[in-house]
Amino acid sequence: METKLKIAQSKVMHKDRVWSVAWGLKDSILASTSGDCSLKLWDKNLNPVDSFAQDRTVRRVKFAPDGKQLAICSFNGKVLIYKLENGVFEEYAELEGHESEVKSISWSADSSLLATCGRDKSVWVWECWEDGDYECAGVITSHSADVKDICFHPYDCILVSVSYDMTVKLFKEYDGEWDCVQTLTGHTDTVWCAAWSPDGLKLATAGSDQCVRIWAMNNGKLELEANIQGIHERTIYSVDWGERGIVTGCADNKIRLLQQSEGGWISSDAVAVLSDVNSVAWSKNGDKIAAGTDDGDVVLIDLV
Amino acid sequence: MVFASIDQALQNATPTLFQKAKPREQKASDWDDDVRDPWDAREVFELIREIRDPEHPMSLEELGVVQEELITVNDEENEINVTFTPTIPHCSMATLIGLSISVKLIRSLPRRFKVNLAITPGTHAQEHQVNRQLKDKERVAAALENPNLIKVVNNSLIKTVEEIDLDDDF
Repeated sequence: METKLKIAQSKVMHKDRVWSVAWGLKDSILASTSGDCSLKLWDKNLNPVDSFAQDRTVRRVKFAPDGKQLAICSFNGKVLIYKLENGVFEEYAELEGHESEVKSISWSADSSLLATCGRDKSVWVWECWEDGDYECAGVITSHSADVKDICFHPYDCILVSVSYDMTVKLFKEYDGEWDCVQTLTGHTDTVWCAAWSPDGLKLATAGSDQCVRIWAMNNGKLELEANIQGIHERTIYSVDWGERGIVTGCADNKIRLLQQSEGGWISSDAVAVLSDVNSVAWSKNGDKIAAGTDDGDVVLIDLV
Repeated sequence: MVFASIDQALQNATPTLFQKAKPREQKASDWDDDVRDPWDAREVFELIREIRDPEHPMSLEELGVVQEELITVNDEENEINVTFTPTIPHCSMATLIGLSISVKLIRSLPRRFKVNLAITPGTHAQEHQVNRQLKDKERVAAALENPNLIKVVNNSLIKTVEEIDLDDDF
């Protein structure tokens, strides 16, 4: 049976473009960040839970896999950590180091590492100590332009980054040092987003060339397995890979679900909204998708 | 000597000037409330023709940087294409001019429109690089949060008092 997407709920949640959405532990909480310089938290029915203001655009939010922390990054060059204390998230730490806009963040599977990237072309890896301290464990300057997104592997000590320089880079940790072990070319324009498959065997990357590239891990290296074209008509800003497939969010106002079949990758009918889709995120249990748009909307999508 | 130093300061000290467009021709249907008036190239041109060049007191229209012929509008498909022509192929202001046009259109147009803004093909040495920057909405958003840059952009968008027609019909 073919899976279909259906909008369950759509609400204006921000006064400006929603840049990112993320689900917290057990899908009981949803976070969104926006050009209105705020981080907002919602319950699963999109009722407001909390709101935090910054002085610049808050570009991304990510919950740590342990569910007890979340991180945001902002155009003001800062990364902020919020910790769950007595049932509410409270600002806990500020990580400074990037020279300018911080564009993305990723937590390692055990929540012990945090990676950040930005306009200054660098990727920073931070260690999160159990006593609550955060320490810079490495700065990687391998890209020649803005690093748009980074993504930790679901279980190995592997990190990928994607960039305005049109490349995808694979980093591995040896004795505490992060080295670039592979640079993947093929995308013909800015690469905006990356997501590992839940089993960690494959990677999806997408961007302004309107293609989704699927890379397979083979002996520690990534190899191009598929280049999915013709599904979107503008920049693909976001991909997320869940048990039921890859969801894409695009500037053509559409959200699609890509699923692998015997004959290759097939796309569901698109769900259409009224503006650019900047962020898509699978719920943890995989039964719904959240999306954020240029209109300031947060959209919840069911699978039917 | 003074003139020589001005010559050095300006990248293009003697730009070619273009005729200003005549006022838009009005049709009877313009005033008919029952007729839907779709957006057209002239209307978009009206929004950007008076943006000022960062180097000259002249408007982008007078410098031939923006032209009605370089604008296409597909109202039904919510798509607008605008290209602009820097006065010289090595103009370092091209990105800034593009940003000013972009900001003016973002602020003025209904949000349903997708605007594709680019340099007129073959008219600038760094055409590809500038186009990529203007297309990157994350970079544009960050630029608009930069107080120095937004001041320069706003200055190029402001009409002088004399230019504002206080007898405009509302």
